[in-house]
Amino acid sequence: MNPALARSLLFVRGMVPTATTIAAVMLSSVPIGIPYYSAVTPFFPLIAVFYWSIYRPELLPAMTVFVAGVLFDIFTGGPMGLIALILLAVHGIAASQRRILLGQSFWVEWAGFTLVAAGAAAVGWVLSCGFQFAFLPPAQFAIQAALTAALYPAGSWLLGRAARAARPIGVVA
Amino acid sequence: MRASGSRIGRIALPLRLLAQRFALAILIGASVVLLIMAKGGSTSLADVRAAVLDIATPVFDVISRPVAAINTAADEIVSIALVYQENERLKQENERLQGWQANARKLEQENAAMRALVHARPDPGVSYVSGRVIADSGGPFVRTVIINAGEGDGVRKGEAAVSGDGLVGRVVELGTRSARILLLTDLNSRVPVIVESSRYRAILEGDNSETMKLTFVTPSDEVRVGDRIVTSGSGGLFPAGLPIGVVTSIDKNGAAVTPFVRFDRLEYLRVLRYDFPGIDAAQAPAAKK
Repeated sequence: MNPALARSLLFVRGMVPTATTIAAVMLSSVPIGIPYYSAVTPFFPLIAVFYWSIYRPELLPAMTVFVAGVLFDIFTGGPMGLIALILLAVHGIAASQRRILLGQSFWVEWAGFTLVAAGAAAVGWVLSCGFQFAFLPPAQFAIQAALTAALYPAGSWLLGRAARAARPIGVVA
Repeated sequence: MRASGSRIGRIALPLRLLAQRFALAILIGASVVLLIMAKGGSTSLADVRAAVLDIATPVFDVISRPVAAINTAADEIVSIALVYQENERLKQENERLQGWQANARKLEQENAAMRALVHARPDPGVSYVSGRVIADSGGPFVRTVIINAGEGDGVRKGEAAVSGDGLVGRVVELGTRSARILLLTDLNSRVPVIVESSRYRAILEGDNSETMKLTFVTPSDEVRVGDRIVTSGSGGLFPAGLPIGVVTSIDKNGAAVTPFVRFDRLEYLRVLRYDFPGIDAAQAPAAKK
């Protein structure tokens, strides 16, 4: 293969985690029009950050996670830094536990993600209540976490396909 | 050659991961600093928000179109299926509205005659700028939407945004091509209102739930379940009389108001430009950056 083409393909492959994480951020803000959906929109970037932190931590630098979190806060109008903080914490936890999760079945990975999603919702709720100095309805945070956990199998399948589609010919993962 | 390459790789990868962990700690600290700055109401953060939103607006404009088209198509399919019932309903509504029209004409003439009699000053004119909803708040943290019209289109901070059903919220963040609307249901929303029938004044607050709360209200003859709530016009930024919702329950904490607007189906909004005599929206305290 032409070396220049191979390098370009490698670059594209390296950008897949960043591109899918930013796409997940934008997807969260798209108005779908389903009743009550807006308040409990699944936390799509959490799926992307958790998945790439386990399977390709070297391709998802902390700076990308930070930028994705800040963009999420800007697009949704939330307090800037809140989602960046949550996503960075998830990135750190998932990357440190990847050796435990990698050899396990998908069910264990899914259970791990469910725990992380529940923890992220709890931290998000506490930080939001503290920031606003008010009691926010916790049910919406719980429903959002449940929906996000329910979507993890589909999300991780799509991210796996994205990673394989961008793999350069002749390069083994 | 290959063996030495893989050995370098074996050493480089842990070093890279260590550097990433160091970066992680710094960025977590940066996030906390950002949160503190946001809590302090930093104006530079607001400028960054507006600038990033302006860059992202064309992207949101494109990706929200297919979803909006699917929603419109779904609505059309439902209306075709219900065309007979809808026709009957509209006939009845038309009869009812004919009666209201006759009343309105009579009252309009009476009103004009009374105003001329007391030399009343006419209400200021209201113009508007339309924008399409291209993004929403995507989670339980806040209740906002972004429209694809901004300062360059004549939108100003603090102005009221309405849909066909009534008041939606107000402009809180402004870019050149985009504006963020704080919905009435957001925790930070406060709107001066009156109870339409009794003219009782109150403040309408959002609490991030699907309904809103009338504060400074006790169960009395002046506020009852079923009463319509409209804007009072106090403060001069919102025109008086914009429909908001209906009182659905009253308890010791206040009255719950269910909005007329379906916040999950917002598509096009109009930002009202209300030139209240003597007040410039851009200079009014509520509209300051």
